[in-house]
Formats: sequence, structure tokens, C-alpha cells
Amino acid sequence: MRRHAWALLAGALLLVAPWVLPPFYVGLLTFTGLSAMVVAGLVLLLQAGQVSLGHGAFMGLGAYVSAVLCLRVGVSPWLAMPAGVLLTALAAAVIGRVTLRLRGHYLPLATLAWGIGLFGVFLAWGELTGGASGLDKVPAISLFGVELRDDRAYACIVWAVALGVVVAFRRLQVSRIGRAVAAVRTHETMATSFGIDVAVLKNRIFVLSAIVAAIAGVLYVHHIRFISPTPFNLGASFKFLIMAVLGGPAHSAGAVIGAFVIQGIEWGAQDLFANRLGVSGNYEIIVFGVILVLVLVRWPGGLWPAHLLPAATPPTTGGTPLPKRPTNANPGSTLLEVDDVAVRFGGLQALRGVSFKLAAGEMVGLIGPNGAGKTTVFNVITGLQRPTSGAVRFRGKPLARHAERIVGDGLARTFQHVQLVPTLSVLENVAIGAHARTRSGIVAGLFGGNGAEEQAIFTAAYEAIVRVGLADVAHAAAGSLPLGRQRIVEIARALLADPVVLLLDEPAAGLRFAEKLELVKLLRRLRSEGMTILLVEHDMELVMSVVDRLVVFNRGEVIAGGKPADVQRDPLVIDAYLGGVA
Amino acid sequence: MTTLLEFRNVTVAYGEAVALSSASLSVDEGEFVTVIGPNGAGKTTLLNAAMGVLPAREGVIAFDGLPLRHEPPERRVELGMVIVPERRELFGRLSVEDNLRLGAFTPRARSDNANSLARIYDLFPVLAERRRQAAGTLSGGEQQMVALGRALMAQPRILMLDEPSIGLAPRIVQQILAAIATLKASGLTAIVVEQNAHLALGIADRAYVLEAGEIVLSGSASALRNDPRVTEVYLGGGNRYAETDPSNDQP
Repeated sequence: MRRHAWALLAGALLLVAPWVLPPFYVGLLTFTGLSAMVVAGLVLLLQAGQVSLGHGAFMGLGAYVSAVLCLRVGVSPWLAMPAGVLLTALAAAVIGRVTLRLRGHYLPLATLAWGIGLFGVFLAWGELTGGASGLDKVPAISLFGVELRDDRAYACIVWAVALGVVVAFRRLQVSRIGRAVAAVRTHETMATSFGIDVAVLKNRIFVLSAIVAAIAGVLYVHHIRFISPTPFNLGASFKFLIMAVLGGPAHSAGAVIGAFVIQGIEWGAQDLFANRLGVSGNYEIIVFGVILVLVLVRWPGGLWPAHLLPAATPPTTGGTPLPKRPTNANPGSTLLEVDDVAVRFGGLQALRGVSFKLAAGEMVGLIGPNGAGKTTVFNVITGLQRPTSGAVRFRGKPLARHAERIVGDGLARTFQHVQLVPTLSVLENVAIGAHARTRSGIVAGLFGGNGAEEQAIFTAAYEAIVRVGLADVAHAAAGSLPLGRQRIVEIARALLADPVVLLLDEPAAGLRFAEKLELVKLLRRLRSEGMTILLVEHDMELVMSVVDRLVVFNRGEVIAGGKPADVQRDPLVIDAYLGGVA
Repeated sequence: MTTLLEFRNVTVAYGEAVALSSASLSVDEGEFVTVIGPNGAGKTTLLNAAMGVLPAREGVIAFDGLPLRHEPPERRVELGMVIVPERRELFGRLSVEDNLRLGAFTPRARSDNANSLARIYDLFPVLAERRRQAAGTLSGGEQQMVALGRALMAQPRILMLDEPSIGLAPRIVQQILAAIATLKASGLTAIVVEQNAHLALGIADRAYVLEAGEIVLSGSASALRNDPRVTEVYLGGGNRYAETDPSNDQP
């Protein structure tokens, strides 16, 4: 409860502040609130691993559309404001579709480009926007016939909206969608493997961030009642991004911190240089830069003191069980069939004529020397690599063509290089496994209505954690566990997808012997519970002692198969591993 | 004979994961030593530790009697430690000759540039024919020759080869082997890391066998060639997991 008490106190302070502060500070407070809104959207983008240098322009787009509709068409602000937000959302959807596929430094460069582009439109489309001199006499919002022109009331409204945005975004952050966003930021392949459509999710998050920027824009323009391009220029976008980075992605409320710190520094530096030192010019920019560098070096994750606050622990009992897949496979019937699969990368034939089957209840190992094609087979089965020819059938039907659909059919995997979200708890990481079995979307995440499903997810996640023997660390950050236990978390996450077949990609790689023993015990237990398991593994001693059957690869082909003892004696296998005698 | 490269109880780890655990080995001047072991045994880690790309968590790595501590990789190249990386890592758009010349980057190697180049074209005549061709357009085997040639341009006192046979057709492997045999005959000291045990044991004087980060066997290459324990290392002959098998538990 202490967490909520602090939040309520801070919120109440912000809403009371306008009524006690001198007028100059009330104005500052309003702008800080508007900034906090835009920044909340950027913090959300940071949580998804994106940056934008164009959100100042989105704020401007919302403001311009609303102002132009009021002045040129004569509609009421109550219609013009939603229209401004809606049009900005549409623009963001189109821009996002084009730019979000870019990676690395190309994405911020692209956002920079359309930020400049929109600003250019505000400036150049004079007959509509008034050009550089702008438009004045923008109508104020009226509520029950009273125009909202009191600065104190307006500051209150702005902060009520800003705090609402922060609270809703925080709810989203800890919801099913928030976990998916964290998965997309850290490991896109993993996100895809658990049923998250990465491109769609990124675009929706982007549009949501543009919507709050546009809300800030319309609230701005009907307060100032004058609009010109300057407040929405590149400098503004930079300032918002700096605020977001300072606040950090750890918590949506970081947006408020970032906005206050930067606005405070800006005002303090201006005051210092102009009024006390008597120098003119934008020297505060230098102070900005120095402080930003210092903060980023000292606190690269932002200023939000996540480690000082007690972590919320979701309830882990009492949920209604998640829907289970009907299991009608008889032990011994074929579940997975790889039929004459070939994969060619340019001139390189990575796989050739690969066929094997996996029956219900079996544990089968895929082995082969380095470069034999094990990983490629694994990628074909998990849908990450499309075969050049041949087919993979799962329960008699061809594999779904989209990698994110495969988990829904009942194939769940782990990764050779552990792909957990290190900052999330073990419980939250395991909960990502349930993504494809659950429905709650962005709206439920923001405004509620997902409570029962969340409880069901966490109840099931905790059950899976108990099943693999990690109950003692359920609430610890996944990144804080030793590698051996992280791999077990991966298995629990895959179990939460309610798989028919469990696919394990080198589960023992990098483990100490004691950890390997734990892994072997778990694999044997899952096997005895009837789970069908396919594993790629190069610890031969381990794989030989746990599997029922082996499929051996060399140079892209299946060269042998059968029980471990027979495979160990097979001269073809010995040659493949130790090399033909030169 | 003097010891050129020595590992004394060297442990290397990636965060939590121990990749090489208390490994000791030595390579004498003029010797040809191989380190074999299955995928993931820690062979590349061993070379990276020797080059200073990875820090040794414990133990001492010494070159020519001098313990190496904080010497960065480029300093080790100057001392005469030169690696042929597993992925070859050529500059695909530069010509074969430019790639080779880049090998002679250190002042010591640069002085004898022309001579070295002639020697390498002697060793691999096909590279002389293709000296103006972009390295990225060569076949895998030819690229391996360029990588080997580039390392020789650095005037190595010890040459470290990381999986020279990987991804190459058997016929090409024979060509590379012939070149390595020529180098060996000329007295070059080398350490070859290989997954292909039979091949490596066929050319080396002495061998070490790595399994899961530990050196489990060592001896003359000819003795290890017929040692069944090598096969066991590769194909998992051990039985350490049997105790966890519930079917072994007799009530």
C-alpha cells in the first residue's frame, strides 16, 4: 500500500500546486504537464526499444488540425480536438508502418526526417497554417458555457490528464501487452516464438505514443490560443527525448521526473544567466548538455529510482485455469513430421533431403558436429526459416506459415542463448509464455478489464515455476539468476504455452555439472509426465543418457538414427564427429 | 628447446559460464600442437584468451617466458602471436593482395613486406593469379588461403589456427593441409584448434583433448590417434547422469 500512498500524495500535490503558486510558476507547471504527456509516450517507446525525434511534430500536428478546424471551418473545439488527435493517430500509423522496420541508428534518423518534414508543412502551407507568423484567436475550450481561461484551472486539467496518462501507461506496462513490449525490446525472435506479432505491436505502441502527443498538442493550442511552427520544431522533439531518457524506461512515471528535471534546469539556467550574470543568449543549452552527459554516465537507466521502491508482486493463486489445448494424441502416434526438407542459402546447401518423425511421448535428440545443420532444422521447425523445398507437418497439418502462429498450434521452444527479459521477474518472464493463450489487448491494459485474465496467467505461471522447482526465486529479477536457473526459467516459460511438443535448443550449453544434473532430472520428470521433447544438444554425455532416440546430422543430411548405444557404435557417426581419416 | 607459449591453470568465463577451466598446456619452439575436442569444448575460447581478446579469470598465459597480463591483442601481434580466425574475417571488397598487405601492419612485419608476399604466392600460386580479385568473391578454400597468408604476412613466431577445415570440402581441406605441412617443414611453430580430430592428429606433433572446458587427455599425436578415449570424449561415453535415471532406482 505504501507505493500507492506515495503516488497519491504526489498526484495531490501537483493538483493543489496551481492554487498556491505565483502565476509565473503556474504557467511553467502547465507546460511541464504538457511535456510530461508527450514524454510518457516516448517512455513507452523506449520500453519497446524505439526512439523518436519526431514527437514534437506530432504534438504540432494535433494542435494545427484542431486550430485550423476551429478557425477555417468554424467547428467547436470539442469536435476539433478529437479530430486533431485522430488525424495524428492516422498519420502515425502510416509513418510507423514505413519506418518501424528500420533498425539501429536508421530508426532515429528516419524519425528525424519526418519530424523535419511535418515542421516544414506547418511552415510552408501558409494559406492553411498562417506560415511562420501563425494563427491567432484560436478559441478557448468552454465547459457548460464557461470558457476555460483561468490559468490555475487549466493547469489542474492538464495535470489531471497527464497523471491519467501516466497511470494508464503504468497499468499497460505491467499488463500482458507490457510484457510483450518488453519481450520485443529485448529479444524479437523470442517474442515472435511466443506468438507476438512484432511489427503490429510496435506500430500500435507507436500510434499510442503519437496519440498522447496530439492530446498534449490540442490542450496546448486551446490554452495559448495562438499557434506558430516554432514550439514544434526539432529542438522541441530533442527536448522531449532528453526528458524521456532522463526519466528512463523503468516506470511510466519517469516521464514526470524527466519533464520536471529538464524544465527546472532550463528555467533555472535561464534565470541564472539572464538575471544574475547578466549575459544574453541560449547558454542554458550548455548546462543541459553537461547535465545530460553526467546523468547518462552515472544513471544510464534514467533517474526513476526503481531499486528504492518495493516491487509489486502480482497475486499467484486463485485464478481460473487458462484454457487448455485438447490433447488427443495417443502415445506413439506421429506428432511432428519433417519430410524431405531442403534449405539453400544462396550457393550453400544447408539441408538436403532431411526426413524424420517425432512420436507423442518421445524424447528425441538432434546431434551432429559443428555446421551439420542442427540449428537450421530447428529454425525450420520453429518457423524462423522457411524450407526451400519439402514440408514440416505438425499433427498431420502443414506448419503455420507465420512464425508467431506456431506456438498457438502447440510447439514451444527455448533458446540456446538465453532470451529472458533480465529486468522482469521470473514470474513475469514465465507469464510471457501465455501470450498466445490469452487475449487482453492495449485498451484492457490501459483502462482495466484484464484483472481476471492477469490472475489466471500468474496463477498458471506460478504453477509452472513450482513444477520446474524455481518457487524460491519466483519474484527475483530473471537477470539476477545464475545461467543454469535462467535456462530452467526458459523451460517454464515454454511450458506456459501449453505445448504439445517442447523444443529445447542446447539447454545445457554453458552450464556447470551440478546445473546439468538438475536439468537432466527436470527433463526426465517432464518426459515421465508425458511431454514430447525434441532437443538439440552438443553435450554428448548428457544427450546420450536422457533421450530415447537420436537423429544424427552431418553436412546438412541425416546420416544415422536410433538408440544412443547404437549411434555411439555407428562408424558413420564416429567419422562425422572425429573426421574422416585424412 | 624453449617453450614459446604456455598456459598455467588458465580459467576463462563468460559471466557465469566457465568456458575454460584451469587449463595448462605448452607449445615449444618449432613444435606443431593441436587442441581437439567437440563443439563447445572451449577451443576457440583458448585461442581468444591467448590473444588477449578474452581475459583470463585465473592462471597465467606466458609467451616466450614473458607473462602476458594486460597486453592488448595488437601488442601480442607485435610480439609475434598471430591468429587465423575461424570465420576468416577478410575484407570482402578489398583485393586479395590488399588483404595480404594488411596482415603486415606492424612495423616489424612491414619492413619485409615484398619478401613475405612472394613467399605466400609461392605457397598458394592460385592467390598470385587472383591478386587483383575482391577477396569476397573467392571460394571458401581460397578465402582460407588468404586468411592463412594474411597471418603469415605478420611474421608470426607462433601461428594460431582456429578450425582451418571448417565448412570446406574434403578436397580443399587436403590443399590447406598441404600448405600447413610445408609451413611445418619450414620450422614454423603453430597451435591448431580443430574439431576434426583425425585430421588434426594426422599433422600435429602433440595434442591436447578438451572436453567441456577441461583438458582431459594429452600426449603425442600418434598415440592419441588410436586412443579409444578420444572417441568417448566426442560421443559421450561417460555415465555421470545415470544416477538421475528413475528407472535405476530399485525400491
